Amino acid sequence: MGEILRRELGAYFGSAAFWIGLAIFQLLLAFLFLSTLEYYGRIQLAFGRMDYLPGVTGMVAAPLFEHTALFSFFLVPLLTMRLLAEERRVGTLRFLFSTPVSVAGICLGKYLALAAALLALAGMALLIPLTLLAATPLDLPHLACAFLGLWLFLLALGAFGLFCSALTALPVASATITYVSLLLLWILDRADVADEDPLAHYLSPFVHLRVLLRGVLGTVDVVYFLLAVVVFLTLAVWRVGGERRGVL
Amino acid sequence: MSIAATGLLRLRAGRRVLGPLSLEIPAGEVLGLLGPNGAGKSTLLALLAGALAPTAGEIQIGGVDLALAPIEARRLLGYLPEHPPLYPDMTVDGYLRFVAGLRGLGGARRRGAVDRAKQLCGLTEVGRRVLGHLSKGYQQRIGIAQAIVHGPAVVLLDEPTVALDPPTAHAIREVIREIARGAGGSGATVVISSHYLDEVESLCQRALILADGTPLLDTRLDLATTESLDIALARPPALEVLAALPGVSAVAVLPPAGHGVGAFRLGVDPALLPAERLAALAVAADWGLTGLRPGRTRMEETLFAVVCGGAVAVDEQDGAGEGGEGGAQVRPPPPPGSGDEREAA
Repeated sequence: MGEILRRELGAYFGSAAFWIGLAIFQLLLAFLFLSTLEYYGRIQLAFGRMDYLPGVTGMVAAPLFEHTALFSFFLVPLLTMRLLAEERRVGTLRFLFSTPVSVAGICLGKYLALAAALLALAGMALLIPLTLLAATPLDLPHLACAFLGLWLFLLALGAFGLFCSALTALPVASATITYVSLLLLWILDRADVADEDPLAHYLSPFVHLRVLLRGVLGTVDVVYFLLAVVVFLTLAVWRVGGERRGVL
Repeated sequence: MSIAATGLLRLRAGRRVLGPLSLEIPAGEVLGLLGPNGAGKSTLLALLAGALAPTAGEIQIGGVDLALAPIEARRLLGYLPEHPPLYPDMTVDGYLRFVAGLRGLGGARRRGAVDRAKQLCGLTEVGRRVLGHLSKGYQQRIGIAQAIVHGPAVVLLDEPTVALDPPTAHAIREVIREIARGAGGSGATVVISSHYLDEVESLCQRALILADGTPLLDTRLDLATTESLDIALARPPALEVLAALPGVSAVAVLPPAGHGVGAFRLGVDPALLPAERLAALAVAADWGLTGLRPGRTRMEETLFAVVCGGAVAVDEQDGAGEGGEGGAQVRPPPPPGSGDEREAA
């Protein structure tokens, strides 16, 4: 598993496309950040007469992370699409089966590398509000909680993407499946869904992300994300293992 | 290290791809798999490599069960699938290091192993090149290098010389000979698949012909291979004269090779009547010897029939007699096409 992890890390962090993508992503976030900050500066005057003052962490960092989560709907499929589909297309997956690495080891090695890439993504988003430290104190525990929420969100999406990549031999098909499914999840987040079908609404990752972004370390919400990771990793292992056994 | 497979069967989505098949390959043997496309050669190799799991049956590599102790068993083998399993974005060195690591080598041992594999496969010049930019010949060499980098006792190569130019194919055959001879310690047990009979004959001690997932013929190649001689004579004697020669068991008339030339296939006992002696007899009797070559062996016959969809002439006596794993086992062919292709014999 260690070798798989090392190779995948090399494939992510050794590719120019990854860094260029990260830079473009950072540029977008910077624009959003600046406009949010400006807005915050304007309405701050109105806050002056209120007893309870929303902090800059909740008003600037949290929306920034939520935007990052939204962008990740486009980014995660790109990061996960080739993980297993490309191996199957090139024929290296069958070769990996013959090495002393279990199917679970293959999937887990790839997933851990993905987790590192997603941590880089979330870390880049974290750097932006941290620049405010130069000018003003931040609610660091709140920021840490929000950051954890963002990473968990990305990890859950990543596990789903890995599973989609296990389904097909075409990276593009895998990305499409991931993308469409994530859009469906996003629709679940709409307010009218919450009224009509609270259970479906509850399944939306955004609902749980927002709890953590508010600075509330909700056990249920953390478990929701971890459960998604475990379920989709298990499904991916099951799918790849079934291919080896010839039942799928 | 020996390979033992018993009752091997592989279904894919309910359809039979291979088997039932049992196979014993003693340590140090080089076995060649022959058969048309879709015969199950690649599947058999993938099963032996643990890349695919059999639907039924079991495989032991050097006594280690591939299903019960997969990690331990897979450490013992090297495998080149039909297409070399290369990551186009990696360098040759990086890739071989990666595979050596996957196979459980680390540190200085890994560095030594990569250097040795590169040396053996003629890759010392291309260590820093990116895999995706290399020619097909080099990619195939790298495919073989990754299969032997950890010095495995069992090496499984799926069509190692397919689609290569003759000099490269020759070089790769030399590498395979080196592996079998034991370039890194004791000689490895090698299984290759091929479409080329002469390749199998020159590399292997034993051949297994598959068709439609079923073994048709399993025969040793290092024993007396020729049981018949084709002879062309400008002034042929009567058939009875030929039949009466010592060591001749049968005579058949072949279609004439040219005007005024009689061509015959003689079933011979190679110990009593080697080709050299037959030539001397023909010259002494002034029959006008114009051609003499080994006739088709039974393996050639079988392969030809399988590839052309004809029936196979089954000779029951031979199989049982030799005994042991060297003995040939012949089965009736799968649903035959037309019987028209049957060779005159």
